[in-house]
Amino acid sequence: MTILIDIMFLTFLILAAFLSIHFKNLLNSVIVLGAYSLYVAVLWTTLNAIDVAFTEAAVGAGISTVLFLAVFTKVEYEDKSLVRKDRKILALGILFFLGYLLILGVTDMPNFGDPNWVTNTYLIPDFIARAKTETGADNIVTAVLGSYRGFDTNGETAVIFIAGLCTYLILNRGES
Amino acid sequence: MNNDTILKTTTRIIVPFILMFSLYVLAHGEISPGGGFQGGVIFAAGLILYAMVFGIEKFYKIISKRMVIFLTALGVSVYTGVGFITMLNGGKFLEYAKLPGLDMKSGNSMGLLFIETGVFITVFSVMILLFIEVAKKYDN
Repeated sequence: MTILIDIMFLTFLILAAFLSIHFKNLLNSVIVLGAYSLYVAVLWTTLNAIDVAFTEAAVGAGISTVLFLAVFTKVEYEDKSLVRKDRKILALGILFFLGYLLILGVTDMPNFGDPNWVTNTYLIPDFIARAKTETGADNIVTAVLGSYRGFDTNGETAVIFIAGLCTYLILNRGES
Repeated sequence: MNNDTILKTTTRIIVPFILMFSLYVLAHGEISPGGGFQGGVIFAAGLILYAMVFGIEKFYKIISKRMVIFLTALGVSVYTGVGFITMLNGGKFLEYAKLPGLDMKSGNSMGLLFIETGVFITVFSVMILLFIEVAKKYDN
């Protein structure tokens, strides 16, 4: 049953990705990209990665769509020059070659939920055993982010701050 | 969009719930999925919805641009400040058990909440700053 749901959402995912490139009106592309993020969020949920799904739904389907729409109030979103008449054989060849390389990579991936795979035997059992007693947090993701990797998260917050500040400075360049 | 009664009424009802939910996600990050980042994004989404429906001028009456820029720096300072407080108290950087007046158990819990609040403040103010910067060009 779960595999049917997975296949359904993966099909929607590919369809949304294709449509977002196919549409000549950028407004349609952005709306479809929002739907794409929502499908990805559902897939994260089926993989039990609720925290990631949460972030994907809020950032991908929410904020980034709104920012795109806000940009479209400023720029022309129906660009006639985007219509391409020619089909490049070389581009298609490179595309299939890259796809072949990606599929080669997939064959090296572990089976879904394989308990004997190296990531599931090295540090994760240790974290699961220690997180509750050492940090008092039931959510192990938060325990790892906040306690075990607290310095990393500090750096991430600084990165968000610097990125926001740089955007502000770039958009306000030339003004006093 | 400016005179749509349905949109304005719905927004007025729904925005407080969005903001409240974001605070729940922040405060409950230790127990359920979520945390500072997700909560901050939801908080920003609620405020951006308000700004889109009621206009940027009315939005500036709640929070000014200077305040938003100040908050982006405040979040990082709260996070790093927690680290330095634990250092001044004789611990390592971000060793929550050494927070003043707290023992091992409550210190870990409160320390996580403090740093998540720092992340929350930075994330939501940066998101709002990005929106303001794009929307500003539209107003002119």
